[in-house]
Amino acid sequence: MAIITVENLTKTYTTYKRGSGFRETVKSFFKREKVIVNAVNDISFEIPEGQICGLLGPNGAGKSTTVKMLCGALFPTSGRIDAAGFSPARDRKRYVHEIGAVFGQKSQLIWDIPPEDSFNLNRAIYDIPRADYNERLANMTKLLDVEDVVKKPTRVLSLGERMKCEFIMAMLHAPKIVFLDEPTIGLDVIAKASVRKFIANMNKEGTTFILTTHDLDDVCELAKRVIIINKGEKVFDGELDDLQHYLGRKKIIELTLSKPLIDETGLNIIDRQSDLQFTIEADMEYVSIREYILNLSSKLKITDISVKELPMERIIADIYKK
Amino acid sequence: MKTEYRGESTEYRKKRHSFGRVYLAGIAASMKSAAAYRANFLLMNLFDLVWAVAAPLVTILIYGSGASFSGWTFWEVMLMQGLFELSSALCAVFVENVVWSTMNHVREGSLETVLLKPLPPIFYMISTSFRFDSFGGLLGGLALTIIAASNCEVFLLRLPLCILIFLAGFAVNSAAALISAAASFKWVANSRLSEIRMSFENFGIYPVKIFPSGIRFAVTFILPFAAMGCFPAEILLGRFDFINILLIFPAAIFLIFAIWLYNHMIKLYEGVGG
Repeated sequence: MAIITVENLTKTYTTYKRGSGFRETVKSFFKREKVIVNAVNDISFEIPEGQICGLLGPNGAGKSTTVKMLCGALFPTSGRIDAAGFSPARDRKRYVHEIGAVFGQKSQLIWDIPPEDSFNLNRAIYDIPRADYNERLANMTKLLDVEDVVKKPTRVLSLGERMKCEFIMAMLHAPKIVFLDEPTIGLDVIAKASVRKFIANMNKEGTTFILTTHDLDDVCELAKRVIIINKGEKVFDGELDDLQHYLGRKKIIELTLSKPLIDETGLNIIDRQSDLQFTIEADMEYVSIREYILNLSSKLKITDISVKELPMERIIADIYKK
Repeated sequence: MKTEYRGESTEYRKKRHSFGRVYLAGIAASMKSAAAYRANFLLMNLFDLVWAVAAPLVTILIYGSGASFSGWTFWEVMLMQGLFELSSALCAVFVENVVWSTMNHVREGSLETVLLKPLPPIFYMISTSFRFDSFGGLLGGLALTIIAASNCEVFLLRLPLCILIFLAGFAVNSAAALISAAASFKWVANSRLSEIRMSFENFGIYPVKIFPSGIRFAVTFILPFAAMGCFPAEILLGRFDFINILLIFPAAIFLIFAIWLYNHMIKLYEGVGG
């Protein structure tokens, strides 16, 4: 069952163009040129309950605007959102009981005091019964291994420790939907792994996650479903496996030869490390991998070969460029 | 309170949160924040305390040189200034910080974190903007008021009316603070607005009778800043013109307007984004 339904969501807003030079600045002081920005343009999708959905897109694609509208912080210009039975912006005060959010770049913890005291403020705000609060806090601090950290002032915490506490802050009230905006930005490998494990665990308990990120590993490890937004429009919506084959059934083949290559026809060389070592991209749409390699080895003296899937970065970059 | 939380958890979610509890939790958090920087906390409070007691220095100088505000004895003026300091400090402790926290949220684009809370944003901002390090001013004002009152002939039976008018003065000053906070949604970094408000405050620190009639009317019935110090003192001293009670209406309207304006600016923000 869909927990979030978005239909024809559109957001436009007006900003003013300001010049950079002295003349332009003086001019803009008296007369400003209006610029209408189509931040989000006619996007529709559904997210089933209990899914982790990755929301990808280049900078300025309209991801944040979409997430802000889904959180109820921004009114859509047109279109409809139904999330957990609410219209987010209109029923904001009731709706936000059901959601949590972690913004990698904006802290919700109070800077000068230990996270535990910030959590206490949230306990009052969401009216969480003491017993549930204690139980959830104990569970989450254990999962994230921050039992002692939550007692230190936020300002002395490392980024990784702080992010873990942001997660607790966002999830103490057991929200049904959690929005994550760049949750692993700037974290080291261990902290990333720990945060991802936490998300996967919470997801098993039924929490739906919407994940905006530029870290493709986040998506590959967590999300089954991916929505890609570019220039305000939805350009891809599907399973991660489908995304893998979005550009066709392409493979990356790394070759090492015993004799330099003479005839390059029919080979799409994408990287050349030396005369004897290079990487090619091959389309498996019309030939099987077996035939392709047989054909290669009849033409070339191969000493080593490795076949890989097209890297996700490459696929995403191609989609972004479109 | 029943613990219907797990399972079909909607039961507790539907309950209204207790504003009182949230406010107390906000104060507790502010207190801990203030205590985190002990030296700053002590210095700020000491400074405010000294300032509250030293502010009437001008009055002392005036009276010391033989001049005076006509009709007011030295201790009567002190009473008025004590009440004014108290009113001003109440605003500093409970409301004024909303100006700075709003400005910070707008400038850093973090207002979403406020909008994520299931509370009216203005209430959330006020309950998390409590300032413990302005407590000194409160103590200083209170001390000055009590010392001055014990040196004057005061009508204690008029205390309830005094408190009513005093609260009206507090409301006017708070409303002015909320309006400058609301302005920072559109006009980021507008520290000048607070200065303007503070110069308006000054109309409450002297007897209104010293002002020309136009200003006197304005600070009584349009923006009743005179209700901060002058009128409450006049009431206690038994020389209040009762027609001035009407100022509670413009004070209430001003406060309602300020709250409306703040909420309206939040709505605009929701409409256009950061």
